[in-house]
Amino acid sequence: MKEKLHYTQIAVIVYMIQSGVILFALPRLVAEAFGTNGWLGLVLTSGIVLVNIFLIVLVYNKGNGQSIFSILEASLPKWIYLPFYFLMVVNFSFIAVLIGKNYVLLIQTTIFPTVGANPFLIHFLITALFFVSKGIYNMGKITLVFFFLTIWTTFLLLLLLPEFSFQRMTPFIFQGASLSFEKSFEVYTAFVGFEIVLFLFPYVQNDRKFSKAVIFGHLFTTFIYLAFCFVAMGFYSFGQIKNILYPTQNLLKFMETPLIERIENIVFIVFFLKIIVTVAFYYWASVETAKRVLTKIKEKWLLLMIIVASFIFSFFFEIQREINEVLNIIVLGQVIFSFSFPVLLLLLLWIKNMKKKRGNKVA
Amino acid sequence: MYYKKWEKQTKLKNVNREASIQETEQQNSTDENEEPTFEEVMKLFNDCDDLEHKTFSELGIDLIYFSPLVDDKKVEDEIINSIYSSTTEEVKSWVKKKDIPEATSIKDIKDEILSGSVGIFFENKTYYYNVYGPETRGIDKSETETVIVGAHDAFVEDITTNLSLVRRRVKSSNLKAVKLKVGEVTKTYVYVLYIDGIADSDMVSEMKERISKIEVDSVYDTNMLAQLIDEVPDSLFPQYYSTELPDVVRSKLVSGKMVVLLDTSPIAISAPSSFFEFIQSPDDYNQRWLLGTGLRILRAVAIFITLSFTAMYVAVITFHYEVLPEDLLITLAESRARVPFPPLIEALLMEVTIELLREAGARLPTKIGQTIGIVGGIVIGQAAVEAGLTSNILIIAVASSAIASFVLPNYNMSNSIRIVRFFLIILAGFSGIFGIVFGVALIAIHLASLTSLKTPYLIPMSPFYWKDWVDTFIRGPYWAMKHRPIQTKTDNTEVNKMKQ
Amino acid sequence: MRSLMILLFVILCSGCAEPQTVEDLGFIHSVGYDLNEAEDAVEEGVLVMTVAIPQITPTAEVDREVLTTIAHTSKQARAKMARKTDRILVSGQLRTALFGMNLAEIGFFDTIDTLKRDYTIGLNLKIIVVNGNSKELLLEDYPEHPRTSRYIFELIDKEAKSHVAVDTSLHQFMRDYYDDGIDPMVPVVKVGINEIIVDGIGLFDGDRMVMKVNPTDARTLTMLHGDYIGGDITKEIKLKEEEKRSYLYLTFSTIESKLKVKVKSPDKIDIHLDVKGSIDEYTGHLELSEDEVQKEIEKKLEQHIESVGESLIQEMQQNNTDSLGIGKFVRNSSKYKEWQEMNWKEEIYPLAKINVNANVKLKGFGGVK
Repeated sequence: MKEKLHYTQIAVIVYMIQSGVILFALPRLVAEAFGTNGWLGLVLTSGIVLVNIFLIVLVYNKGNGQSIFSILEASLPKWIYLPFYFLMVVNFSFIAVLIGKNYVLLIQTTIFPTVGANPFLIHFLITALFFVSKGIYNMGKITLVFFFLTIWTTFLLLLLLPEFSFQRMTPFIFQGASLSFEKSFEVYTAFVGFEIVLFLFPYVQNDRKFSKAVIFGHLFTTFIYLAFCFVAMGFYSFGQIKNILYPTQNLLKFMETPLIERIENIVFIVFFLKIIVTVAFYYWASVETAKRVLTKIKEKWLLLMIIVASFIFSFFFEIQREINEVLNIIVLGQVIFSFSFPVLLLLLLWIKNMKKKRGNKVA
Repeated sequence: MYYKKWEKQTKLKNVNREASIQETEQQNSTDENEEPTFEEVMKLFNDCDDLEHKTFSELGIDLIYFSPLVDDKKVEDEIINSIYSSTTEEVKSWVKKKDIPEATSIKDIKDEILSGSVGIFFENKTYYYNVYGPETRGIDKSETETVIVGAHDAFVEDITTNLSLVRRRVKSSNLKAVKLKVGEVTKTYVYVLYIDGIADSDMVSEMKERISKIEVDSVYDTNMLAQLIDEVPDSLFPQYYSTELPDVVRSKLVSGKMVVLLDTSPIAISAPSSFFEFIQSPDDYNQRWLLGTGLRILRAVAIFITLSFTAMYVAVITFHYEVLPEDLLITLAESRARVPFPPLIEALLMEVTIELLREAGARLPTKIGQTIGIVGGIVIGQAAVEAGLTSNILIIAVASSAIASFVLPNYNMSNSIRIVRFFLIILAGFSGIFGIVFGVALIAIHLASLTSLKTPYLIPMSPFYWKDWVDTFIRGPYWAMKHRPIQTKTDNTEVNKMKQ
Repeated sequence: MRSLMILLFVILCSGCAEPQTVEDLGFIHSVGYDLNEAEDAVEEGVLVMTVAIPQITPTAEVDREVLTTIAHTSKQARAKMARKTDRILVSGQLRTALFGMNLAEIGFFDTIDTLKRDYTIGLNLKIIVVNGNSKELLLEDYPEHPRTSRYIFELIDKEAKSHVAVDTSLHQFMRDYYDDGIDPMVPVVKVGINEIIVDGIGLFDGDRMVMKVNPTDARTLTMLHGDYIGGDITKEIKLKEEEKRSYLYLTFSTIESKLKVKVKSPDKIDIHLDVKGSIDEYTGHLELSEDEVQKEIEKKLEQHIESVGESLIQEMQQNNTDSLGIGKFVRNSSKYKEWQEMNWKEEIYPLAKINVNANVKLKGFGGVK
């Protein structure tokens, strides 16, 4: 029996890639984008993401689980897909390093204000290197372990129940905010990451459960996001939530346990394990793509090269604002990619099928 | 280790290996084909002064045997008495009646004599009569794995006794014991035990292959054997579960795992193993299931305490003062105010002292060991605080993590965890909780990608199999334990069923 | 694996974060802010900042270190104070922030800004107003209560449980400050002789304290604020049959109180209170077990709560503070547009008709008849 990714692993991978640093800011983003009771807006956003996931699943089903590279390479000439691959490699690795740097900067400003961010980033990238070098099947297992090591943080929300009030949530729905595209797009990016499953096609167990697993993973993310946003909106007043940079972090700041006061210090760092999964899978996708072009170089060296290159790239962005600016652009590309790429693949598959049918008819 | 090497170089080396095998086979073949004569055999054992040689010249009988290997009484009673003062005919009929086997080659008789037979040279023929019976240690309690409720007998160094301990427990013809030899020089016996029809046959053959591919002069102990056949020799963690208790062996066999016994070693290893086996003790199964579960959770907490207490102390004291409640912080700061070293050095100092105490206690006779414990624990601890070398909270952290490390039933794992702890303490000293989480991430990555006989080490947590969770952190009630662990890859998954 | 070890070694050698070992730190436990009313305030700074740091040197005679200085901003003051101590001043263990009355009256939002901006400060920080001067309160020695800052902290914590004071954390203050339907309220303390005394509850309009509620009326106020358990009301009470006696007091401990707010229209609001409790002390000689007497006591108490409540609300309306959060109820019962356009706090609230209806039920009267 050849090793394959189990469907629980896929669900967990999807969840772990999706949820990231943005969770800390999410209640504010939601409030800014949708206004009062903005957590309902998450449901809408999640619905749009579901459509996108449906496209991806369709590619999987129509292509009978063959890898996206073979679909592309089967029907497109080399000069088209090579630059496209290059773009993917660059985009994925940059997203990876920027997400890492973003988180590290957060840690550094809140907990270690006296040192630079780069030593932490090196820690981060070494973990990623170690993580990705284990191969995709082990990555699935590691993700599961990290999931268990981080999921307990969600239960800390229960500590906040005494401070929760429905009155504060107000009965108004989607008021007090200009429904701008930019802000809702930022909320949408909270879900970005699911497109990585496109690259998992050849490694999953070939059964019907794949689509369920992806959707379940996504719904789990939605649930976690909803839980945090819902609690935050009953915990903060609406005017206040828009004023706080990282409402989720502040939520944690309010919690107190008898032995550990200020548990947010620990929880915040434990999020390392969550972020590293996102980063590792983006690097992995990047390596997967690069492998198609640079067949001669060993995978390990490829990985090292990509990580080092992206690390050097990250030097150009020293503060949060710059990173957010660049990240917004890159993530926009990513969102477009995750919508249009499955469509492209479906188109290719369709053309191929048509050709086949015509060929059959002629014969 | 050798396994890995072998796996890598298999293709390259195959040619060479075959040649060398042929060579040795040729050498052996001379031994094998040649008719054994008394002179040839005596030449083989030249200079073996512990070889006993008795001659009955009137009958033309020569007896040779290693007196340290045989039971002298048996030799006297069963052989010498039968031969003594009897005629050639009588000896012939004795041989016939007793159906004493005949050796056909020099190798044959050599191996037999070395494993405790008396070689009988009579009328140009060679017979051997097994009277193996050296002194062995009696079955005793285990020193390292104590059980409170349950069977107390433990394995000894003698393989026959050990096999008997297992056979007594598994009365089934399906219990197979495959005998192999390891050690190019010492030729130590290894038995691979498994239950046919439960254990996965591919795994059994994989195990047999790995053992037979070992190329060393000698294997001293089963734990050494385990290191020779595991996949990641550089890992800190034991990849095969080792035990001294036949009771544990039985439960492993029944769940579809293999057990390897080595002659001269009181330790058995079972394969494949998962990380969670190392927090299990036979006691859990003898308790009510809720109590058993409680104990297992306690052990899991103990791992957590061992790994994190001192590291957390260092991290909090060095970087995260705001985490502590104010009252605790003030007492801590008061006792830290007198300590001249940075917290990392302070913690390492105490940790090393504790490790020294532990090692000293283990090497000394029990009575002195206790004294050392008292002197070290109380006197040094108290004095160190009073002299301002450490803070008293650190003493508590170090002591409790040391105690917690002894809670683990498996000595190998307990050692691994203790070493990993140092790694975390150092990381904590450099970058606080971030360092600890970084360390935990590395360990988790390592553990998750570790394999035992090509099966995942962290199963059933990762990959996730909820059915197997009844026997991990939880010791489920017996009605819930209906499935053999998925790790064994057995086809015979249902408990209480034997196919056939 | 081996290459990884080398990399690890490199990291460890490069060193990571700069240590902040506890014994080198002066963790500020309490901070007090006052308005500098001296004449040279504009040049020297308008803020008098005082911090109390627990002493950790075992041989020191005093249990705390108190530093005070004058500056323009809080962080500037901290830099000035750092010059006076051998320890690194950090605010991660800050538990109480005291504001002098003069500062509270002109508003201290600018000062509080630093507290919420600083990542190291927790949100459980208690906000307290000092009726007087916070610098004096922190500098004063209280021989029976060592470690002043701890003393205040525990005092407020305990008194909030019996609703003589409220326990307002930084988070709660900010939350109510930003909410358009409620105003913050904080506990008020004052310096006594060798002790600190809780002096009621301060009500805010935005970040300015505009009204103080006396400790005797505090329980009625908290009843109107939300559902809380515990707390006493002591009242001079005259029952019908006992009119000759002059010294008649009754202590009523509220076991639970339920608040219902009915908004008939934004300017007509009914507050309904369900109070259950028992009598702890009674100096009269009527048999409390009699139904008639109980009913009468219930009625008297109802009247008392209603009159105190209504007078409190009136005073609050005059001072334009809505610490009870009536605005929340009005907001939640109107449409968003209406609410946005009505300018409730400034125009409607001061003139709104707010009725208090109390319904008291005696659950018990102790172990005697």
